[in-house]
Amino acid sequence: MNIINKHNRWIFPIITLIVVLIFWEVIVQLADIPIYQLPAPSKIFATIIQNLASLIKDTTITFIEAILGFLLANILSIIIAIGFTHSEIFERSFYPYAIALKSIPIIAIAPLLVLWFGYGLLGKIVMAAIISFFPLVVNATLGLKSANQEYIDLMKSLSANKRQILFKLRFHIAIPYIFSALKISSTLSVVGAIIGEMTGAKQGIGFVILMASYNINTPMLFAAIIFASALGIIFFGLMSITESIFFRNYSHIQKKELL
Amino acid sequence: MKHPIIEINNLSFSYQKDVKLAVLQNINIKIFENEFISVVGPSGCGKTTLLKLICGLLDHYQGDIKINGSDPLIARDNHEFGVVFQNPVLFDWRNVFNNVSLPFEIFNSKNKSSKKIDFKKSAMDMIKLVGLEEYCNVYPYQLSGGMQSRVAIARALCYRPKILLMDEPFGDLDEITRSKLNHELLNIWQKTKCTIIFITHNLTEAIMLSDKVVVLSERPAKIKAIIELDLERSKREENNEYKEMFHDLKHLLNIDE
Repeated sequence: MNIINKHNRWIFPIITLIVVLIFWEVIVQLADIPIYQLPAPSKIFATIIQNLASLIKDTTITFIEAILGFLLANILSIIIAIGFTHSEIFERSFYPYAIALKSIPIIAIAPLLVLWFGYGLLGKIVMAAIISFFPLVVNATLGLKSANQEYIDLMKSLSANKRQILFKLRFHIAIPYIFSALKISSTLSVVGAIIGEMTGAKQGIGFVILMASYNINTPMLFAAIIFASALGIIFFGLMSITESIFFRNYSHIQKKELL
Repeated sequence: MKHPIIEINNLSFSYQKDVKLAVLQNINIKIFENEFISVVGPSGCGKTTLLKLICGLLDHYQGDIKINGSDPLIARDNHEFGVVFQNPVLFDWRNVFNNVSLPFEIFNSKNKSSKKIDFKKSAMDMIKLVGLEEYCNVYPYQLSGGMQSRVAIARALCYRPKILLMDEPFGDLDEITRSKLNHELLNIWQKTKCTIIFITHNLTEAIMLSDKVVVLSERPAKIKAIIELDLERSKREENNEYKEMFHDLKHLLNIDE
């Protein structure tokens, strides 16, 4: 099949989407499904157009919360991973908790954060940070520690100190591990911000979802879901682009798909 | 009387404090400047351990190791020796030039700006010495095994150390590349006038290259014999005495023919 080449690999998914939307529209019209149960795509589209400005505003707020939480988590987790790599006592005392906390349903602590940080941005940023923190701390530690002993011996034989071993060797080895975690935590940070907003907020896409659900405004609910999904995808895409720019210099290094 | 550049006295080492797990026992070697020493022994006997002790990668040994009069760690900081490991240990994200100049980068980032050295020329000299001047911008994955070994040698010689420590550097290479590199190594040795300690399990290689062959016993390794080879290297291949030596070595190492 010559049609399936690199240039038109988008054609088939787009055709699928159009077919599904038409099918959906027709079913809703024919079966006379009430709008609060399942609105037709045309209704959802109309809602998006009507509320475009506010939807963009709320999505932007969620994006800011997510990205700030994401950055906070990244800085902290890299510092902690460096600590784990260099101090065995520190690692033995805390690493098991990092692993254990990773499997806790973080959503459960969202009400606590509202209690501590109120309805403002801070609680959402913290939520986004907490949820995106663990994949990176675990992966970065793995990556920093995965430098082969022979490479460390080489650096030592050149009388390199710990800082030089970290920056000239360990970080480079860890880069593929770190990027694979960054992609995961980018989408997780959006989830975190939305959960934070749903637990208590006055703005943001999570708040829009919650309000639409209370008011049984199903077209608005769908519109908000679409914007929230788009946000997650865009964030993930940004990380993938950054990764591929970065990997231009590392193109020969195997990308590590972990977690 | 010449002064030894490396002096090892009563050296014993075990990985745990348990004497039963001893790796090296009572090793005594004196190595003089510009000597080419091979160390042979059964596999797993502790050849690599001996090398790691000399270059300060292992600690807690009994006895004495003096390199140019100082302890291994001090000698390491003074750049008395360069090391070539079993694998080339090249950094995939650095091209040939940047791999070779890594030692200088480490030196410069540790020293104040007044002491920093401009390493471009020195690194290039070393790359030329191993004949890779046309491959400066090439990455390790694009190089053959033999070329990778050359990069490793150039990197080890960067500081122009008096001593070159080599741990089966050509062990994974095919026979032809190996003998070519051995030949080049002799050239480098003559040009740089360094002292080489060459660990190998290849007896022919040991006999063809070195001034002395140190034969280690099975674990815990003791020195079984130190064989001095004084015939010119080019004549060794045809010489009957050296052919016998090859069999003696095999006998010493309990290798059945």
